[in-house]
Amino acid sequence: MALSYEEQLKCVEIWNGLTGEYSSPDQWNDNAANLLAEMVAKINHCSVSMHLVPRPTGSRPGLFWLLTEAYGALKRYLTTDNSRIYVACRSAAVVSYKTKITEALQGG
Amino acid sequence: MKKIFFILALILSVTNAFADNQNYEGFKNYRYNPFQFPYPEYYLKAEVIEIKSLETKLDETRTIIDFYGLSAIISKKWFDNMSGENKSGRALCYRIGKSCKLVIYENKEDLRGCIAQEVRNAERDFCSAFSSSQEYYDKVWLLTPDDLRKVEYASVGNSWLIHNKGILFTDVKLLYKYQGMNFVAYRRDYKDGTPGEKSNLKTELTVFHQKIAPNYISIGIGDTDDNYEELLNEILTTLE
Repeated sequence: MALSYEEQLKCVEIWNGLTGEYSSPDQWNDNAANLLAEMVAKINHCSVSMHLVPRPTGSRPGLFWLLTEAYGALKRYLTTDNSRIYVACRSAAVVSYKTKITEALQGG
Repeated sequence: MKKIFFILALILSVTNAFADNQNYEGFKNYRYNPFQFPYPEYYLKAEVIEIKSLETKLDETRTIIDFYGLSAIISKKWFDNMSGENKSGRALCYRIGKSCKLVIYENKEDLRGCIAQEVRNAERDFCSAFSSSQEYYDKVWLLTPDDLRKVEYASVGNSWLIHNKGILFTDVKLLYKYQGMNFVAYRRDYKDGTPGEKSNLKTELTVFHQKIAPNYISIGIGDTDDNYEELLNEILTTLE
């Protein structure tokens, strides 16, 4: 599944909101977006007691979950109340995924 | 015979129900006590290795790679194009064919998200456990739940750092800390063929060098036919 431009823009927003890093929409491919979904799912799992974002419905968080349910909740928290994202969780997830996603953004 | 099967089935179902109940209780208690460290990754601890710099001379088989104020001398055999691409302006990429096999980027010091006063106020425990990203890496790479029993590490902040290992190291098999003359580097090697793994990374190195402090460099090496250990060794022993 190739990402649409709108989906790529959502990935740019989420990535920037969580890491402060800028990327261009055309860098976002399926592989990078799937890794981003995993990263967001880890933040979600870590912050489970705070119920920051809806939990993935399937057994494995995927693109659909990231670009629909998680995107809306994350955007709300990142733009209006950044302190509600658990920094202890976000920090670990960023350290865990930043290099993998940066590599994927270069085309793998 | 039927009776035996019935009794066995009954025992199994009771055992399963008990196990499910235990899991549920554990999950419920997690809300009140997130500092439960049942998985092996919490106990991963880095092996500390001293790096002696080598005086590697440039010849026709070697080249200098420059990245974000640092440089290293590596063999020309590794990549098709030794100049590296920086299309995005955010990361250097060295390729074999179309694949990015070595990715290097710079991290700005942000105290792992704790640089903003409002964040420090909101998460005092976590943010008070380290005063730099290097200290964060050092503690996460070296501390285990056993250390929390020691007076010098017995704090909620350090418990959060151990908690972070559960996110950081689920797909990691080995940790190393390299101590060089002017730098400290933290390495993690990824498990082979982790289910659902979407990344090609084999190993990742985070380098804190005095020359570019407080910023630091991340280096990722993807799967290669050759031995990435040799490439990593070349970078570490010639890093300036």
